Amino acid sequence: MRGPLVWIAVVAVGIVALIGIGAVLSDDESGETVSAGEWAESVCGAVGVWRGELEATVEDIRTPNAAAGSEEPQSETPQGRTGFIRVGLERAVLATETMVEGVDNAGTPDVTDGQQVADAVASWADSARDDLEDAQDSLDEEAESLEEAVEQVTEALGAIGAVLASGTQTLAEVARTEPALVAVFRDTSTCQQLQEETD
Amino acid sequence: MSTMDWVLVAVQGLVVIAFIALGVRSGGIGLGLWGGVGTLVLVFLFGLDPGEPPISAILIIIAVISAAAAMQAAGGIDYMVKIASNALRARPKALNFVAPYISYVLTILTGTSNTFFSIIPVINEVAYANKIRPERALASSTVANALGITSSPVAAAMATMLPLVEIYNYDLVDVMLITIPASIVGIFAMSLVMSRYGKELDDDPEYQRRLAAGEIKPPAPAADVVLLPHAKRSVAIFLAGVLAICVFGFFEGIRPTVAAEGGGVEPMSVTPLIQMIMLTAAALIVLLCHVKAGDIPGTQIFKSGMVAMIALFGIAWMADTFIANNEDAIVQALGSMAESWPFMIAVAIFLVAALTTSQSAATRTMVPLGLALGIGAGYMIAMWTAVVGVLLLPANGTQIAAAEADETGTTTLGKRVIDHSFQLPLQICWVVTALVGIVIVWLFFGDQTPAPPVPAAP
Repeated sequence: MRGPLVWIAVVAVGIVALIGIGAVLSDDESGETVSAGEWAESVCGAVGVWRGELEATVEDIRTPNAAAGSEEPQSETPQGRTGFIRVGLERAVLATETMVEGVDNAGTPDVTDGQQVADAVASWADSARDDLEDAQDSLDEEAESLEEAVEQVTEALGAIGAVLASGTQTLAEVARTEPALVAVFRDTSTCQQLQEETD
Repeated sequence: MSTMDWVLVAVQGLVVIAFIALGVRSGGIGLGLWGGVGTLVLVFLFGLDPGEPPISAILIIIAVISAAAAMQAAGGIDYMVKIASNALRARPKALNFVAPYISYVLTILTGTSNTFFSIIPVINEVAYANKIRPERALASSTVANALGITSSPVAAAMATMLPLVEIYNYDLVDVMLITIPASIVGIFAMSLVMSRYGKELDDDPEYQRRLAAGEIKPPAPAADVVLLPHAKRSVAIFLAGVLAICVFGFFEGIRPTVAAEGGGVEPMSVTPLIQMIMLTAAALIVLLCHVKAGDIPGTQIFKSGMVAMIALFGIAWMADTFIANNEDAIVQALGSMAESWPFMIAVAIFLVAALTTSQSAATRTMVPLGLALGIGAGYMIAMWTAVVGVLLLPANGTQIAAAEADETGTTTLGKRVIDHSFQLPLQICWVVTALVGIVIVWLFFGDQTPAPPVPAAP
């Protein structure tokens, strides 16, 4: 048997190794100019992950009991329902902040209007976060009736749907303004996946 | 959140840790009792909404313990110990390696760590009968069991993970090709360390004290054990129950269907199936093995199981009350840490899992962040195995049940919250598994996504 200090040291070395590997793997390219393919890969990846999270959130808001994994009766009261929507929107905002981080980290594509393209996508990502935060703020008042709660659900789902649609639109507009990106979007695997999911 | 809010969250966290410390010092149902007091303090003093007590886990413990205790009353445990001892006669220490892999496979097949409750008494008895320090096999098996979640195609955490990496061309098979080999190596490293960890049973002062005080009987040599007439039958029924759970867990299509929330039908979840099948196994053992139902509560397995249930009730309720009210703050804080220092992502995943006690929550919040920070999807899958961090604090049902089952006193929940028997195997296992996973991705996956095309010259 070895003393506990030896094992603590072994574990510590392992954790340091993991941290070192993390440092090598993390790839912050914010502010840097990268190849258009690399930029598209990162942006479509971030948007694709975000889209999946928002769709899961929409599902959770629509079927709160399934999401909670329990038959919590309070979730069916107007107040409970509002609380559930708020949690869903908080998650949507968190997911959007992560997506904004991903878009920022993607850098600037090395195409003619690269900076403009990066700014357009970043601007959309920021506005998506603001829109969802506004939707979240509108839930500060508890629903007084079931009808009001239903209205809040509809508005919350509408807000999420709107930012999802505007994301697809932004990427399409970016491709229109910068023709060099059309082929890149078409040939990049994450963009292909995103396109398939959107269709 | 304002500074005051952060201070409040920190104070609440300290209250939770203090009550866990009081509970583990009291031992037994003291853990549950102090957990209840902690819940009361969080609700009345801090105004938190009460969280959810772990109803499903408690019901599973009741069902599984009923079946295992019925099997013990029928002499089935003695039979299993005898069989296992004979099989391990040449190398009894092999138990330290075999038991963790069995628990790991059980989780892969059922997608839940709750099936592990059924084999805790068996691992403990086999270890004790062979004079192996039970802590070694029990602690490793508990960790391996939790690790199985990231290798299971039917686990909730896997369902959360897949949509996050599919856009990067990683599907279920790819994920399992990374997590399963990595976990196999991680479990082996952990078992190797644990097979040499701690004093031998005969030299352990706590065990010797219990032995001297008559709190525990010395292990009977396998040859001396007289089997009851229906011992074999009870084992067959119990194992058939476990096998049925695995089959139903793995093949969703053969489960009964229930009404789905959004309309239509969906397969029933594994949780009620475990409860039904184990209660049925207990009933069949009573019926076919001529066990008196009144004898079951007198068994050691039943007593330790009920203690574990009360302990889990209080402590998990308190933890959930804290987490349900502060999950966003915890995730935000650790997310900020990872954003500032992306290299800490694996540690952040581990800590989020530990502080939310949810592998799914850690997956949902931290994996997208890692991907956004530019870490490749394959490497994120390798580091995702860090969600086994749910065992960092001794508030998990399987940890409590394993500690309660071990009458020798070698498997403990510690005295200072983090110095429990599961800590060393946990740390070895998650670090080795993540590192091996990274190597697997580097060697066999590389950049999974095809190389981006070179843009046309403007």
